[in-house]
Amino acid sequence: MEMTKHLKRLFVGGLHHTVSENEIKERFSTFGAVTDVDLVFRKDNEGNPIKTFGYININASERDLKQCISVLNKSKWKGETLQVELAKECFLHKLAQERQVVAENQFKQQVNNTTKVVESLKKAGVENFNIRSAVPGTEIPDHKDWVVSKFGRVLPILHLRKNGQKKIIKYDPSKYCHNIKKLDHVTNFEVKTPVTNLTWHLEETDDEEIRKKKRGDFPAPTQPAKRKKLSVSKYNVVDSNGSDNNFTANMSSYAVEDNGKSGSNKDRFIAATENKFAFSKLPCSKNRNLDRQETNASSKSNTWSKAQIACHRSGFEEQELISERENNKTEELSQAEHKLQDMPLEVVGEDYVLRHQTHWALNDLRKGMLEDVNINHISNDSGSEYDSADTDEIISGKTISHKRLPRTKFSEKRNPLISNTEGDPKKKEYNSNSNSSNKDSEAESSESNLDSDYEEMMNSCFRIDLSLTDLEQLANSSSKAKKENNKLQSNLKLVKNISLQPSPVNPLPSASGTKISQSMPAWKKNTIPKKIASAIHDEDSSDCEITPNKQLINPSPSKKTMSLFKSKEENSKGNKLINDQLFLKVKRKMYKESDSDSETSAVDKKQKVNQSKNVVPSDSDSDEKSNFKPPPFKGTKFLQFNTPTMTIPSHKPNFGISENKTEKLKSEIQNLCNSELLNGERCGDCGDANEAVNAVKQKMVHFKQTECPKFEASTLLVVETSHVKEERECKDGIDKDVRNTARSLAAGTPQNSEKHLLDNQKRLAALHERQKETEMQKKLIQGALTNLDNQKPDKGKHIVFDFEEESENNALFKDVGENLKEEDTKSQEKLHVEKAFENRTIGKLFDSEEDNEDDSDEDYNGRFKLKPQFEGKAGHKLFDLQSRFGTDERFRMDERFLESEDENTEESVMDKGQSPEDEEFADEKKRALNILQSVIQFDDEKSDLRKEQTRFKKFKDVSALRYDPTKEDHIGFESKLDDSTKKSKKEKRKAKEEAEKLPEVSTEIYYDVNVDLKEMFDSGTKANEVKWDMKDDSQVQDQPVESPETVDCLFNGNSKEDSAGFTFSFFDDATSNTQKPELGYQIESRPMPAFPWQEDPRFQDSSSEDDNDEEKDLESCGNSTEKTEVIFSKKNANLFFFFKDDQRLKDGPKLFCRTTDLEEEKHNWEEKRTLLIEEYRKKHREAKRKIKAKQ
Amino acid sequence: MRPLTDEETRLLFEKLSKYIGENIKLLVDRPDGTYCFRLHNDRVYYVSEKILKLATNISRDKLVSFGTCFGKFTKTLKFRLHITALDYLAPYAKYKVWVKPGTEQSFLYGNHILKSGLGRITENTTQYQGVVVYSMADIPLGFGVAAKSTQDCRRVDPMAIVVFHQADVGEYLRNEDTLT
Repeated sequence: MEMTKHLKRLFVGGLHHTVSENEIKERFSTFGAVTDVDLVFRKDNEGNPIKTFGYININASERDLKQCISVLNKSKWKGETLQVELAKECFLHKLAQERQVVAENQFKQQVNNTTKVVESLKKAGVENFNIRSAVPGTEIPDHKDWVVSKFGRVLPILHLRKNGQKKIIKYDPSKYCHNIKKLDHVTNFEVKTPVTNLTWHLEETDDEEIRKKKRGDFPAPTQPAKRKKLSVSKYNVVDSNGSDNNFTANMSSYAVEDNGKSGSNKDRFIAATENKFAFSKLPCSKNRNLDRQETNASSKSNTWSKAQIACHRSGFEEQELISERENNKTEELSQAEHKLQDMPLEVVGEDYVLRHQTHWALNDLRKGMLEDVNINHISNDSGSEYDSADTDEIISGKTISHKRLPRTKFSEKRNPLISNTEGDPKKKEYNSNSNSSNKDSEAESSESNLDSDYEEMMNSCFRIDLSLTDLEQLANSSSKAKKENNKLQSNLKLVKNISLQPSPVNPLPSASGTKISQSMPAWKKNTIPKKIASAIHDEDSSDCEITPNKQLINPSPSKKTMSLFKSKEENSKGNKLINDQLFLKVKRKMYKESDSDSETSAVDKKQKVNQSKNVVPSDSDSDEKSNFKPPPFKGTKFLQFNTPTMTIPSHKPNFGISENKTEKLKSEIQNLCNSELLNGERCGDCGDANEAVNAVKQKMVHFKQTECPKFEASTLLVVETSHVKEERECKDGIDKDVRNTARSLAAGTPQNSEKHLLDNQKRLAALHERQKETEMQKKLIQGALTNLDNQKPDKGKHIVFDFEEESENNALFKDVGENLKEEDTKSQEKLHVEKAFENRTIGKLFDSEEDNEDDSDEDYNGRFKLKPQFEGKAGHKLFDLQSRFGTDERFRMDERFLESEDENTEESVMDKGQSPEDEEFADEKKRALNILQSVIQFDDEKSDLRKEQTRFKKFKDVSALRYDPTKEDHIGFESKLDDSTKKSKKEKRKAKEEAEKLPEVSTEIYYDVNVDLKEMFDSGTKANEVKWDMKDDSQVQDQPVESPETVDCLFNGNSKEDSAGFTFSFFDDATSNTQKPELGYQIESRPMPAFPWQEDPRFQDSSSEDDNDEEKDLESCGNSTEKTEVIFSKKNANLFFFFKDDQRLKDGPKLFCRTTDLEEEKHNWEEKRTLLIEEYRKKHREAKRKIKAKQ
Repeated sequence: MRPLTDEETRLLFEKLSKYIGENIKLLVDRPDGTYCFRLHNDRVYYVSEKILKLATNISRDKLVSFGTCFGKFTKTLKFRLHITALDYLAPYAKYKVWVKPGTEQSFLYGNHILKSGLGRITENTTQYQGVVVYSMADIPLGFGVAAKSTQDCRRVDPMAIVVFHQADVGEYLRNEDTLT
């Protein structure tokens, strides 16, 4: 064993760097054959060898090797210590060996296996694997798991594990036909595999090819084609997967597939875009999968991609489901919103307008604000603006939707009417019965029919039943007589007729125009006023056929105002403008009436306002319908609002009077007086208004009648569109009107129809009242709204007037009717309350009328007795005022104004009472605004700062920077040369002076200076007071002098010695020379530069200190100096050199000793110290003051 | 109940100015009446003169609230806005943020707004600028502070906080007992 030689690998370290392979071979050859030498030279960066070592392959026996190591290890060779060790085998060698071994082993095994099996089988009687006679499936003896397969071949039973499965399948070859072939093939294959392949053989896996590649085994030439194919498919996949195209492609396919389903692709696309993030990951996964795909066939890859797409789709569907759910949740949100929601991020400008203005009253404020900010912002007026109904433009233009309201109401109201017409007659009869009693009562009160104001539709309706017969008779008797006569007759002769005749005429002034219609033929209840108008217009008294067009359109003819409007409409066909004007006139008349009712004063104003108001809508309206419709919102409302004020007061006195006359017990004296007064006033008004009618009026005892003609006249004005004066028109109108009524009566309408008519009229009246009521409510709301908006600055004035007017009307109504406190009328809240109250009362009134159509007057009286007219202080006041001024309207107006003024004064008083609080608030507000301003400025400053910072942050190219004197920024670049030079000059000079003067020891100089100083200090206080600058200057000038002085003081002690005197005399010439300029210094006052830095207090301090020193020195040295001078003069001829027993030598040392007692010195110092400090402080203060003043 | 001192007013205005800027002027100087700020129980109330007069009739310890509470002064004398001030901040707000419907709930539960929930934002919003938060239907939900400027908002990842929550209308339920 020892002698057997093995190839060993040795490590040799510690070689000299100059060693060569041959040397090593020679060295080691003594121990064995050296086959291979590897030398490694390690060098540092500069090429200096660090170490050298090598590996050698030596073919040597074990013993030789040991010897070699023991000998050569740690031996010295070429100055280096060798290190020899056994090394690991060379990599390549090992590899080769391994391969060889493997190949050998495999071959051996293979051979062994087959031979073994064959031998063993031979033992069992099987030759060459064949047993011909055996039945397939028989087991071979002595050989477990060996069976005879089909075709008589002996084969082993195999236990195979399927790829990727844990299950082991028993493969019985006897049951299959071609297994041998397979097996044979396998064996052949194995045998045929080259040895090189087998060395690295491992169980085949999916990544076989990779491993093959790793092994350096590249596939057979067939494979590249396959790979090419694969790569193409791969490429496709990548292309379709990795990029967005893939996504869209998937999407498109997906979308196409889903086309059948509902839902637009766009939405899905949006949803998908939203989920892009999810998809961004997909390419990665695909890439990962691509490795796998390599092994797969291209078809497979296709399927795979399909599957992926399917996955995508499922993802999409999920997302869509989610989004749909979301959509369901937020169904209210519009589609746009949905899109917005899907949009990633939106940035909007600062002027973005919110869709909903969420804050209550801030719409207006906002408007103002935005105007302030100069942003054009159109708020959506659609829903929110209540006051829009008030403005004329909107009425004319926009409120079509609002128009619908009244119309529908009308239609609703009309329906019951129509339905009721059949059931009416009974009621009529009943009414007639009740009316008869009324008639009787009226007959009693016929004498003083002042109050026949019963313009109440209901009452008049009742009467008509009775009067109709009379009218018929009348018509029969004098159908062709003049209507005026008719009227007069009816008025004069028939007490009943009096009540009757007014009734057809009256309806106009009273809010119910139904009475005329009652007298008119049955066919139209609603259109009667219109009819009248048309009749008059056409001059045909009994024209029934003109109207039909309008009847359908105008559902609420019962209203007087409506009727007026209708007439206007009809006329508007001809000439609208004139009609409008006339209409306005009519309105004015109506107002006058209302005034007469309630003795109002500001009628003219109102009328004007009304004119201005009404002209706009009437002019702007082109259609008749529109002409008719808008008013319900404004004009008609207004009218309607006014009409109740007219009618209701008129009712009340009437009721009161009727009360008085029917039931005298219940009537209150006050009420009576009131009513009478009112009536009288009315009469007066009427007289003022239409003088021509007065004659008729006189004949007609009825006050109501007087009113009626007026109205008739006004209507006529409207109808005829003539410019004739009012009086004439009134007359004519009366005539015509009466004629019309007469004719209509004479038309001989059947009584039943009349009854129907009456019923309908009543209902209409009731409805009308109800409508009025609702409109009043509307008005109230509107009023409230206007109140809210009242303080808006941008609102039109006329609207404000409107409101005031209404309020005034209300107030009037109040005064006359309800007697609420007048003081409260101005405060708007109270007005609202009043309105509400009023409304309620009105409602009650009309409710009562409606509900108790058959009620007697007594009921009414009772009702109205509960609300006496003039009650309380305000009522009394009113009465007093009224009585004082009688019937004179103008005075009344004045009084009215006075009253209002009183109220104003009251208000002002109230304001004064509140004023302190208001002032407080104003102060607070002011303060707040100030603070706010500061805060906002603060913000601004902040922003400025920020801006500045940003500015500074801006990059500046220093090299490109050029000094520009015009730029302010560049001041920083200017170096203040002047100052520094000045300063330095000064300092230099000072230093120079000091340097020069140090040696100045001459007594003369000292003396002169001393004198000067003395003078200075004698006038020191003065100088201080006079001028700081000057003093400072002088001090500055003095400063250089002082140092020589002190030196002199020192040397003066020495000066007793001759040598000292000699020495100083040496300098005498020079000092004398220098003395002159110094004197000049003292004399001339240098102009002080006006720079603050020169007034540096420290500087002054130092000077002052110096002064102190000077003083001290003066004090201390004062006497001695004079002495020294004397000595000086004496010993002027002292020798320069010391001589024996020189005095100077004796005195010199004394200089170094303290001459005076320390205590004494201290005492002196303390004495002066306080003074000095004071002085110093004074100067300091003055200096400071100076600086401040200069600043 | 007392008027604010100058210092308090300054604090209040500084805070408000973060949200509505110079529009504070419109709160102080209102054309539709006199309105003022009053301090009561460390809380600042924005109240009309009329209500103020009425409120003076109630003793201090019994007076719970009047007008609109804008917020309160903390113990460290900082001013903290309450959600009740939203009514006045929203109409005047200069910088607004809209949240997507899905995020509304999260915000109303008191969470910050992430970028994923950000539907819309006013341009030029700077960082730490006070913003009013709206739903996409333009209903104000609360207010907060922009954690990122508009430019940054475009860039940040979807889970980054964009608006810090300060107050939301959900507090009307959550802090029902403390809100006045």
